[in-house]
Amino acid sequence: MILIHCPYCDEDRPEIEFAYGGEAHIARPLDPSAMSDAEWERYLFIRNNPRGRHHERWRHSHGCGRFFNAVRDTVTDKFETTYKAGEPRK
Amino acid sequence: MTRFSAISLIAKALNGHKDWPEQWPDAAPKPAYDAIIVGGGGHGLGAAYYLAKKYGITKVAVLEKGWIGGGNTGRNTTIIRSNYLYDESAHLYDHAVKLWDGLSQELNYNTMYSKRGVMMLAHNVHDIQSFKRHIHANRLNGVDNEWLTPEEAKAYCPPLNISPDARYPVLGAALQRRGGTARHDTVAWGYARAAAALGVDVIQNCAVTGINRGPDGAVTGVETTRGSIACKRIGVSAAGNTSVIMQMAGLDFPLESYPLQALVSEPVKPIFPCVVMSNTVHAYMSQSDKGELVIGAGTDQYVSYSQRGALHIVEHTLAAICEIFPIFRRMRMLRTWGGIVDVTPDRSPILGKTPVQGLYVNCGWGTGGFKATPGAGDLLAYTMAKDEPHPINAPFNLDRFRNGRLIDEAAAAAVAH
Amino acid sequence: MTSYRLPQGGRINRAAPLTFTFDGKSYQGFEGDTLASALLANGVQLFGRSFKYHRPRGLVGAGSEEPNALISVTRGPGRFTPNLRATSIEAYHGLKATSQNRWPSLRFDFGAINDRLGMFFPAGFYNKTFMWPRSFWEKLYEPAIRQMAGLGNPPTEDDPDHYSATYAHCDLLIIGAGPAGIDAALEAAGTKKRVILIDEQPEAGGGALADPCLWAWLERSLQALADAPNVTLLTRTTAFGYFHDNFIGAVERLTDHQSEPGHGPREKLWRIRAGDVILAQGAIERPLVFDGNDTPGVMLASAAKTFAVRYGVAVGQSAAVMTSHDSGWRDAFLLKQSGVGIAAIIDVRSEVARPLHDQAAALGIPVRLGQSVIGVTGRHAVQSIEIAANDGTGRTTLPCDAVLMAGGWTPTVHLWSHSKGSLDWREDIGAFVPARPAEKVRCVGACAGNWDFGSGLTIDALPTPKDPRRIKAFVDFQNDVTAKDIRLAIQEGFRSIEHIKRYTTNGMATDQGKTSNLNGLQIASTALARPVPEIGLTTFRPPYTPQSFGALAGHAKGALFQPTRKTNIDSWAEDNGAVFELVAQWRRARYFPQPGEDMHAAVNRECRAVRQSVGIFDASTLGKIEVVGPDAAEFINRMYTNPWKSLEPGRCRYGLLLKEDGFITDDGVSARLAEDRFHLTTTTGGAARVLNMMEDYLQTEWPDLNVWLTSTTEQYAVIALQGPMARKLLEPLVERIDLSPEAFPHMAVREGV
Repeated sequence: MILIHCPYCDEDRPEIEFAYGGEAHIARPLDPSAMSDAEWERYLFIRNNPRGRHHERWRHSHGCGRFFNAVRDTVTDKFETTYKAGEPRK
Repeated sequence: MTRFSAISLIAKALNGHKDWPEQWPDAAPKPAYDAIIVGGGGHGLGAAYYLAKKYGITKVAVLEKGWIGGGNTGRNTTIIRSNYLYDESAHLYDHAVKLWDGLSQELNYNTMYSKRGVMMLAHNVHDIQSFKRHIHANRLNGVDNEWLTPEEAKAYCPPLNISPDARYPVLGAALQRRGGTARHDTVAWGYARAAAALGVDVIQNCAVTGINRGPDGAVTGVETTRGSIACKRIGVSAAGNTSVIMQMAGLDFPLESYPLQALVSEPVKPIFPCVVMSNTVHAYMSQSDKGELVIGAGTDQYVSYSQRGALHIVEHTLAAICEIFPIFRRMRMLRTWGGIVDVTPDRSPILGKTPVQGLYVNCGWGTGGFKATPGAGDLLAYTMAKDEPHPINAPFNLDRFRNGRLIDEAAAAAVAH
Repeated sequence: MTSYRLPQGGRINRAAPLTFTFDGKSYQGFEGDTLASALLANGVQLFGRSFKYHRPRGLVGAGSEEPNALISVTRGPGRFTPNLRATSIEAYHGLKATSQNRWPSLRFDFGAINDRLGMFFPAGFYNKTFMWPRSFWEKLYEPAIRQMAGLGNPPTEDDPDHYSATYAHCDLLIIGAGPAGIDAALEAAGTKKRVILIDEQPEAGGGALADPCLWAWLERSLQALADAPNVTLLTRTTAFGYFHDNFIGAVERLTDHQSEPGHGPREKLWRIRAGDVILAQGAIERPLVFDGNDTPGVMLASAAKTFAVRYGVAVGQSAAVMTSHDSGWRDAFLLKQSGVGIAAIIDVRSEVARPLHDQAAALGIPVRLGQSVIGVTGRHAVQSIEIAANDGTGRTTLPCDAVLMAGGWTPTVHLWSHSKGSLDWREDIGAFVPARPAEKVRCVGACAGNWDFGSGLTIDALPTPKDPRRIKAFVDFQNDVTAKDIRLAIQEGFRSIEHIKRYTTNGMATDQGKTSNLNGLQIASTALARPVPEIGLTTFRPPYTPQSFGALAGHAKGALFQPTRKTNIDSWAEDNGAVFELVAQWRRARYFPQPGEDMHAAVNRECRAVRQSVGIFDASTLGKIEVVGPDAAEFINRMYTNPWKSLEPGRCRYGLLLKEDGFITDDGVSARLAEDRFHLTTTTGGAARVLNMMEDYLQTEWPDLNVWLTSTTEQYAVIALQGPMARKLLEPLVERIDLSPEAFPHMAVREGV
């Protein structure tokens, strides 16, 4: 069970307090109807899924309830950092 | 190829087993092939075999970065079934089940396909309605599936707890009698041996590091840790690592890779005659021929390539197993392990062409790829040989994520399978 | 029967005798014995039958590495446990143990026919046959294979025991309470660190328990730790897995060693999060590979020492020591001094250190250098051994009743490997040792490759003049994997160690290769003519030793498996004879049968009531979310497919919720209670998912919206009143609400009391 640092609570807490939220920094299109099928596909379905540094979202669902972003290595499962939603990509 | 049989076994035994040949040669890469399969799992080796056997393409190499069968082929819980809801899925998986039957004889390698039946438990009214819908849909597609009362389910699988006082009582079950298990490693080895006998090169410890493309965009070969190889047809069958390979060709894929755990108990004498699955309680189990209870756990929630999962997943899985089968509480967990499963947005596989000419893909089987092994191999071979998908795998194209024709089997894949 | 109990010595309590049975026969032992030591003391050497060939087997080890002596223990209805190691079963008065995998008896087992036909069952034989005729696989071959396989019998009754679980946090976790682990704990005692020290054995001490010179130190040290308030010592506790971020799973065994199980939990799962971890798990001695090395009475020298020193039991009256390592000599000396006869020390090396020679001479032990055991006579017990020089000459026979193998040492790096720490091959000790850590962890003592056992020669198999294809020299005792099986696998093209493991099943038995992995690797290395590090090592996987399902399931059993959510009206429904159905985690009244009614009759009657007068339905399980704030209407308008801004306070609307991909994810009727306040309903199973989805959009896409979301699912009971008489039924029960159709039309909402 990985330990996750919640940037709002500023504490390391066990994974079971958190819910994974998928890849981070996927901007929701402001005008979906103006997008091509390929652009819409990219937004909906295409994911980086890298071996290595992964930007991802977590929610401290059994804590403060806030969504935040993280950088984690998907080979070691080690977090590089976590940061608040709205902060620039790290 | 030395034919395997009881007679050859006895003859070789009398000679101290000293003239058994290699089951497949440890091939070194040649400069060029007619077709390359990336990924030496059951699917990839199967594709190579069918390319050579059915489609006459024998200058084929299978490139495996580690040892063949070392990925999900050797890490799964070996369940075989085809009782999927949608027509497309039922046709796809039943194509595989039909090939499983007789595969040992075809490959001359005992894959131990055991039609012991797969039973899916219903625990609430919604389950009953859903399973009965599955049963009717399956029958329309010629796939066997039948409804059992709790008592019939107990008769089929005596360790089952059918007490109405259980937290999640068993209200009935859907049984596919042709479902069952096989011995996972032998599938990879059997295909490797049969394919090698037809001229296929099985190349281990050879990781693909790049995909080369010509001025027209079509593939021209691969870069590997053992040098460049020229080839105009490349089939990628790399399960959890598909995204990484596809990015070498500049393609981003609708895939995410999750850790999936499984475990076995210590071996005991026969007690568990079939496969039982419960989506509601999140548990499934069978007993191997060696006597181990083989149990699938769930996926962890985050993407990972670590082949390592968390303890609380195992705790929950064993709690669920003990809930349905309370007699196993004193059984002991012998070994756990993890695999990487590649999951698509609609939980159905992608099997077909890609936007890159000469590049074909077979991926996204999630937690359920083993059962499809012979079918996926055959269909990937067909698609590569004809440069067009077979009608069975045509719906499982990559375009569906653009045109919206998804095949949403998320319900069927609610639990690892 | 001769007693093999030494007249003195050992840590057993000779003042506390106990009686137990093995295969129905009664024996005596002492408090502090294991089943293994107590049976050995009674002259029993035959403990079990092997998996494939059903060969008679005795003890190999004295601890949790034991591959052979698997035993079933029964202690009343539902308390049957198969596959326990005799070396880990603490003897208690009334213990009932039985041998396994034999029929009709342990001494006369029909299954041993497999051994006579063993040449036809090499590694992977089942891949090559049982294919013809095709229909025979399911009807004949597979059932026969399954019946032959499987070791012990399965439990067949519900387990009456219960299991406990806990979380623990500490600054320092030390795994293994041998000398190295105890030293580490002593260093931390008296500091401010919270320290947990755990050990799988009933008594802390590890290797020190088999070394009388350390007993005084051990007693002092354990007292010091007991006096240190910051140190917790857990014995009978196995750290079985090392998970992410210093999260360690351990199981404490609480009642299996007691005569009466009592009412407390049988086992307890410890989930420990540690700041730092020190692994002090020691090393396991390696068997030697030679023809007949599985005969009962052939065991590890260190095990024989443990039996003599710790339990006061001689493993034989005249034991031959077959060694490639100095530790074999030292164990022989200690055994001799403890009263165990030593027939000879045979060392495959042609030279050893002078002091070893001198001490052997002083103790009167014959020494044979540059020689090896090449055969063992005796089926159920050792009668003699055949010895030859390493060049195959000078074959002689030596009578003895035990053979003690000392093939060097394998550091116990299992947990280190679980933690993803890397390993380096050390040629001088012929073993993998911890290298770079992946967590905050370090190894101390023998598991780091640091020991004072002396040095030795690492060897794949003892030299023999016999045809290696015709002998049975075992590598994995339990799974019956021989050296020639491994060579056959390589001959057939299985070159990766993972392939070799899977083809031969080497290291896949219930001991998970603790005594076989390195020997298998050495044999593969020789056969492939490649150094060991190039062949690699199979991955270590949790658990370190097998752990019961019950312990891992913990409290999650029956009603505690998952709590049943009940509505506020549940008890009323139960009192009125409701039949319930499960919906998600809830139970909900489904129908109310009257005497003599089946479901259809009851449902028909209830439907008719709704048609003709009124019916009530407990809809409390539906999810409820309160959406409050100046932007509440704007927010809901963006979430659902249909428009909401125009909805007037006091009115309801059906809403459809889609995922981004256009698939329906939820629906429900929602009400606008005030300009800035909505009451949303969701499906029963979708409540948490919908709230999470709404929070997601609110927090990450539209943080500018001024809205608060609150789950109110359990704050409101919901009764659906349906039928022409609904208004009339409700009228006398509420105040301040005008229920007339004009004042309270379809899809309206009113608040009252």
